[in-house]
Amino acid sequence: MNIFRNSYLLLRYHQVKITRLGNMNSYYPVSIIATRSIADDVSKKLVFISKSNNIFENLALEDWFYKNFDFENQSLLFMWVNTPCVVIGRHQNPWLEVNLKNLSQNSVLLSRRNSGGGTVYHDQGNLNCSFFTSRARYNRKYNLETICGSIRSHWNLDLTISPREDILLNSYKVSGTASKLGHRNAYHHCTLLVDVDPSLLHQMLNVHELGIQSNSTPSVRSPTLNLKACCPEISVDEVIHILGCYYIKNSPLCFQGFDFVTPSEENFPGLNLIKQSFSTWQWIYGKTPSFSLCCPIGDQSSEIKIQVLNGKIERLHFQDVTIGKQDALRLNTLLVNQKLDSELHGVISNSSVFGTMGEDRFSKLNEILLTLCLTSV
Amino acid sequence: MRRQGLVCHLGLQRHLFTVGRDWCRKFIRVNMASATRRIVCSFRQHKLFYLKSRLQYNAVALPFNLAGPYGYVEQIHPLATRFFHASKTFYGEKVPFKLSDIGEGITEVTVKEWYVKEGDKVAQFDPICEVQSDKASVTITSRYDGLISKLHYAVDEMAKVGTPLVDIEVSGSVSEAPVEELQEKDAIPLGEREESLELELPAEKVLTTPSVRKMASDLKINLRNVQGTGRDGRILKEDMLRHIESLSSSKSTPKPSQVPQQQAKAVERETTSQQPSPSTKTPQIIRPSVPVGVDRSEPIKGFKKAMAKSMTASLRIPHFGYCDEIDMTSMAALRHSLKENPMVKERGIKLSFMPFFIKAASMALHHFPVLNSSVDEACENITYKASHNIGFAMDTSLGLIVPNVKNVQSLSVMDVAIELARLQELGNKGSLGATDLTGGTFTLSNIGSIGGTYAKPVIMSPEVAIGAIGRVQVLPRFNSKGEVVRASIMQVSWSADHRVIDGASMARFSNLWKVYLENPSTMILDLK
Repeated sequence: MNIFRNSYLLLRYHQVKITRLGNMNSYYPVSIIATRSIADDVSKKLVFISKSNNIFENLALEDWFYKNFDFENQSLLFMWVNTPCVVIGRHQNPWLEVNLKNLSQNSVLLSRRNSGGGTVYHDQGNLNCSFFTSRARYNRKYNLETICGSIRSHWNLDLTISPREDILLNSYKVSGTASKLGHRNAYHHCTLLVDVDPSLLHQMLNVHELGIQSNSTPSVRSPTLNLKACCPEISVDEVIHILGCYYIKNSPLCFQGFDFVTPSEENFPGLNLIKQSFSTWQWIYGKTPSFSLCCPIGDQSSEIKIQVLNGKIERLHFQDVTIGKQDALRLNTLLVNQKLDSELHGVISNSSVFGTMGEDRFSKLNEILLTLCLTSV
Repeated sequence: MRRQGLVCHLGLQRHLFTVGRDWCRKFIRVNMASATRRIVCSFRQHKLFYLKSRLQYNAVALPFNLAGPYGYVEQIHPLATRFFHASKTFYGEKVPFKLSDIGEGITEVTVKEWYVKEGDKVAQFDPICEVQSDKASVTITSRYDGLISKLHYAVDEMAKVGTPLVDIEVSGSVSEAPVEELQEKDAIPLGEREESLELELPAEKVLTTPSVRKMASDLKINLRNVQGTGRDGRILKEDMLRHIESLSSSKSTPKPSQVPQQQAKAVERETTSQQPSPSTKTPQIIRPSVPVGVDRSEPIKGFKKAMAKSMTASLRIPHFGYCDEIDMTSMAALRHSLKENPMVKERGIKLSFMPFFIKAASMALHHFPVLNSSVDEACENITYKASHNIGFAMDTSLGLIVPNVKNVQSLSVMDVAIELARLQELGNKGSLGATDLTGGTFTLSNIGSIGGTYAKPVIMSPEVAIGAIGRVQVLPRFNSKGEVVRASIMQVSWSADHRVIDGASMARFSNLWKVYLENPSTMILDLK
């Protein structure tokens, strides 16, 4: 007689219906994915915790692991916490997602990560977890289940996974997810709102409508909640500890397998180069997909359409003939091929061009341009 | 007309090879368009033939001993140099590179950025583009070396999985099937007659195509024995096949050799020597005309593969067995009475023995938590699992699978029965979920439902114990008064991991389970 466990899941996509039976625990809907079985994952599990709080260093380290580590026989959970900053997705538009004025006023850093998805606000009460595996073992659901399982087992919080793969607590979002898949390696990272300052969060991500039209990935806004609101004893350090142990599946009293890493050039050769590339204006603002916005002139009857490519004003479309050739020429020389940065901000504020052309007519344009140029690295 | 430095033919095959530059410079340059009938190159080693380019290529393949780093020449036949292939250095087969499945049921992605443009050279594993699906950003890398000839999507367009993403001109041969099978009719005729070509036909050589030659060498057939029906006595593929047929049909009798027309005399001499003398005729074995069964082999995959894999893992565990006999008379009576009970009828659940077995096992596990534990691979840590996730073996059309009932310690017998029914139904449909199939901590296998008494079950890693329950048989037993009574007897065979479980614990656990089942009322005492 042979008994065996079915380790290979069939390629099917359907929801398993949950039935409430007596006092049985409820399980969230599971979709079956054709991958190797979760129980079969005999790869070595590593847990690294970053000692740095700098967003650029941590992003660079994450990228370093993705490019340089071999995950054929091991998987890595990398956990990191940052000083206040906003991180936008790879193909997002910072002007659309982030309130740049508030950003500079509160000296909050802005950065762009390499994976897709939406915009998130980080601070010391937010934990970031990056799950690194080989391309074949990539399984977002499993990673989210690990997080939910660990928190549920220790603090008895009822975390569920939404269809968009966010972690929800009482239908409020407590985590956002994004991932990057390459030829050999893949990673899936997510945030976890343990004790984040909600007012700052809203200030940073609260953008005034500028009328930007773009093909960049939009963020889907949802109401958020801190884990601490439902469970006062929880803290980021404890979550790190519990999640790490759960990931390695040892008993909670064991400290083996956790490594505290310092992102530095000696430990990770080539890291500085990556860090620098992530800190440049070119990466943060210049990688924006092309977008355009319309700005009314004078008495709202005519418009100028500004087209921006790679963070630079590519061209100005004058939708109406009322703008004289001279004015058009002046605007073109001033603006076209200029990066939307503080330099242009200075030029526009100090320039007398707008004055000569008639301040009232171009006041709206002036305003919009100044708002756009509030970028700072 | 024989000219020094004359040239080779061009082939029709599209898998073309690049060349070292030297030879090309003689007549054409790389990337120069070749016109029809233009002299392309020359080579010295072989007979000289006039090369006419019939196709538009830019560079020419060299003979193999002068080939460049990228390719090779297939075969050089002194007469039919039709196997030379001309190649443009950058003109290869256009292969559509399809967008492969990304997983997670994603059918459409947005192309976010191109890392190459048309006309760029790419190597294998170079990143081509970045696509985004919901929140996953995927870097697509090239599968081939070559030149990008076409991008099918622009930035921000939706690309469907499975459709071509880019067209790559591959510089080397990319198809899996080797280039072969140049039939007579495909070959370029060996120079037109008006070019006054003199061909010396070596008398010993037999005229065939390389595919026929290969076939002959594979089947170990002497080409001289095959009769050719093509032009000038060429052996065609049909001739070959005919020869093979004739060989197989005349196996039992010594075969008379086939004779090509030109060499009739030589072969006649051979034939006469091969005929056997009548006096030494051997008796023939009468072969019966019963069709013989054919061996069938198939790859092991799916469930069988999973089984093979988990069995190999289980073999590392040192098993010990412990068997016992359980008197199921009271349990059978209880079940019978419960079936008639209105409460059970109202709930509409079929009550078999299995819910009782599972619940009794869970209750016994409370007292012996070591049996509900898990050891890691190196056997350095033992984890005592809190929840009793008891698996049970289920036979489905696809094979044996083992789903488990979660947290039996918190369930009543009725709950277990309901859950069993649910899992059975899902199992029959073949749609069990990952949660149901993983996370088990203890297993019971009711092989007795099919048959058998004692068994030696194999522990399912990473658990540490398993039980196999045999058939319920009615046997004569002595009761407490010494009388022979009929008793429903059922055997159970436990296997446990001897690294962490000793015989005594297993025995005591089995005894406790036995007590629960032999006197079901004791289960009420330990109800939680």
